[in-house]
Amino acid sequence: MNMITLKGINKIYDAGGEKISALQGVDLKIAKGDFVAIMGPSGSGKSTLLHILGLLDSFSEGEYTLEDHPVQGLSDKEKARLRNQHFGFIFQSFYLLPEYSALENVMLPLSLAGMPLKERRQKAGELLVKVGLSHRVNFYPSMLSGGQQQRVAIARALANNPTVIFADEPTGNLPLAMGEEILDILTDLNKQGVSVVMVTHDERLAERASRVVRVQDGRVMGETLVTEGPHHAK
Amino acid sequence: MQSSDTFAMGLRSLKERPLETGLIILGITLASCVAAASLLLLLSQKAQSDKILQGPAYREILVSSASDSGQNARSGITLVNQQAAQSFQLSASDLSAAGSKVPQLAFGYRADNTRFRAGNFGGRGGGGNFAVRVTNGGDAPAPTAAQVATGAVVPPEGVVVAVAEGQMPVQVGPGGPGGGGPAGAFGFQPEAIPEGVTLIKPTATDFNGVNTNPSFFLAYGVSAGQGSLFTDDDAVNNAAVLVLGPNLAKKLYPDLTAEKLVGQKTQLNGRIYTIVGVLENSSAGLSLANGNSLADLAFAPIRQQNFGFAPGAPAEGGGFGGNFGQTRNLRFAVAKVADLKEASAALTKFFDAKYGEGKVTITVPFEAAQLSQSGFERLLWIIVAFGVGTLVMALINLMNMMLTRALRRQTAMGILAAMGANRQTLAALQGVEGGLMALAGTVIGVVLAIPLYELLYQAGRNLFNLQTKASFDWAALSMVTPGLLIITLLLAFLPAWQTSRIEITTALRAE
Repeated sequence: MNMITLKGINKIYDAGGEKISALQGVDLKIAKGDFVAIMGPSGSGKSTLLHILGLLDSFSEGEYTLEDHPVQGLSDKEKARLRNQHFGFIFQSFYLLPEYSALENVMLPLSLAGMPLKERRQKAGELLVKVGLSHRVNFYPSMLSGGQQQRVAIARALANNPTVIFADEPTGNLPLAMGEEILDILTDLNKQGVSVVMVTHDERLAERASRVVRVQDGRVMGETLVTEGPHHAK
Repeated sequence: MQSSDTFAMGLRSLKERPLETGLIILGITLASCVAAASLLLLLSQKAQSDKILQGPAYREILVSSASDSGQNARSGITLVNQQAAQSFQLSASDLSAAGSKVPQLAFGYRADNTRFRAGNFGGRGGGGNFAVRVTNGGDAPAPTAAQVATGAVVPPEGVVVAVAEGQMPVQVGPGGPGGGGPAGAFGFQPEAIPEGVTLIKPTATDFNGVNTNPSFFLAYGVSAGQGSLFTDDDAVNNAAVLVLGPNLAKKLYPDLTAEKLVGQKTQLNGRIYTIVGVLENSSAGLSLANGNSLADLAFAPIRQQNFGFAPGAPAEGGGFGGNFGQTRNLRFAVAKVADLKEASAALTKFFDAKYGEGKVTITVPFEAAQLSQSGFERLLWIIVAFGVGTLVMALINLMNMMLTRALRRQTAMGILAAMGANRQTLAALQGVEGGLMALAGTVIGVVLAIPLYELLYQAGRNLFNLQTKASFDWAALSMVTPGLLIITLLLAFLPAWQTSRIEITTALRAE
């Protein structure tokens, strides 16, 4: 069953009067439990596609359905609720709030969901244990390594038990070994049934996915099913 | 998101940048302070001054013998010999005579400002026992014994002692309210305390009062809250009776209620007075033309043979000889301010006819006060323009700082939006920050505006020689405070609303 379906998605930017087409007629389907890698050169539109998939950005034309419900016409409030309840995001720059501790960063999505303080503190603690940071719960981002910060970001993305995790170059700022660790976590999550959509330009990382979608000049150039790798070891 | 979480996050953001937060709050504080003080001045002073100018003190017409004209009295240079002084004395009988000739006049009375001193100044029968009366109608400190001792010795009542420029002339009286001369010079002895009489001692050594007659109370429309006012008989009999304003009563005798004060005896100016009454509390709203509230004054009967006049009061008393019926000042009051001009013209005609042209000065305090008031109002508008200008500039700065602060936090806003914060939540988070700063700045500013208001008001009063003295207008404050709060809060929320509209992807790229 397709969870997300994009049909003929166009994204046109207005750059000082000049129309720039970031995405052109993109068709894409994400099924429950998919691990999709979106690949392409810089400026190809892969991050734009991820942002549209995650309801972080709007599209100019086309259809987007989430579990058979069209997303067009949803209010800002409804989109925000979907992001909070169904999606989790992991970014290359981690995007942790520097003035909040690891625990408090993980608590933020729970707080936005209206969970009482005691419960969200407990759940955030559990998630940090899950990503191997039980000894760093009260550390601030500046006191953590890049890998640890990304783990906090993963814990935060998992806070509201999302159905899809969108990861934008999640290992881009990390040394190779740490990047592998992060991918191991994402692979494990995928094995547990969480869909993962990951933007990368690293072929080696893409091998972890079940499908690789190649994007160039704002168009989907083709899809490849990955038949070997960790994803298939389950 | 729960509102308590929104509030906690907003508060936390404030604490993270204490210097910036402090500067913004300081800016709002200063602007609110200046704006509130100037608006308070304009709102309260204009309304109250207009009201005060409609009060009994400004329905008065002051008639003075020429040598005691306001100009001379204010200059502080008054030296006349006894004969000259006598020749310029007005007669208390002029009160009723003028009253019958000028139909616009509703009341006529004498009211001389005085200074009461507690005790008998050096002990019973001591040489320094005397009383003084300030005759310039002002609220001057009591002259010292040395001032009197070094001045020209002029024993009879009504003779003005020579004093240096800038000092107040002092009149020495023979006894009665404000009366009594230095014992050595006039053979006056302080009143002996009779056996069995207990005196109560005031907490202040000296205080302001008025020697007057009962028509004064009628003109001011004031009654006794406890006990009674003094009567015309008290004036005729030179009775040592005293009526206290309620505030003064509390200040002088804090341990006694107004009810218990009535009937008590106290020694003032060497004389033993019986307190016969305490004015009603509403007297606090009535002031003399010099700004003194009736509630802060003591009143004793002036010793004279003429009662003054008032509707229903006896027309003429009698029994006193000598010059006790003579005075340098007489006061008349009209029923409404509109009658002042006509009444003063008629009085000028009356007194010119009786004493000769230019011998008597007619002063209408309302006219002088109105002139000063209009000058003060012009100054007020300038202050208000300055205050509002300061507020606008400060608020523009505030908005700039808030916008800069919000832009700096764009990425954080983007992160929160990605996690599921909607625009309302983002606006609320930023709004709490701005709102708290605006609230703190405005509240502190308004509190500081109270002393600034007093400062500006006093400066304005001194500059324009204002005699009206308005009390602090809390109603005006209750109008100004929410008004300022609404403006500062709106302007603090505007940047919050604007930053909540940003695109998430743009915000995330802002880092």
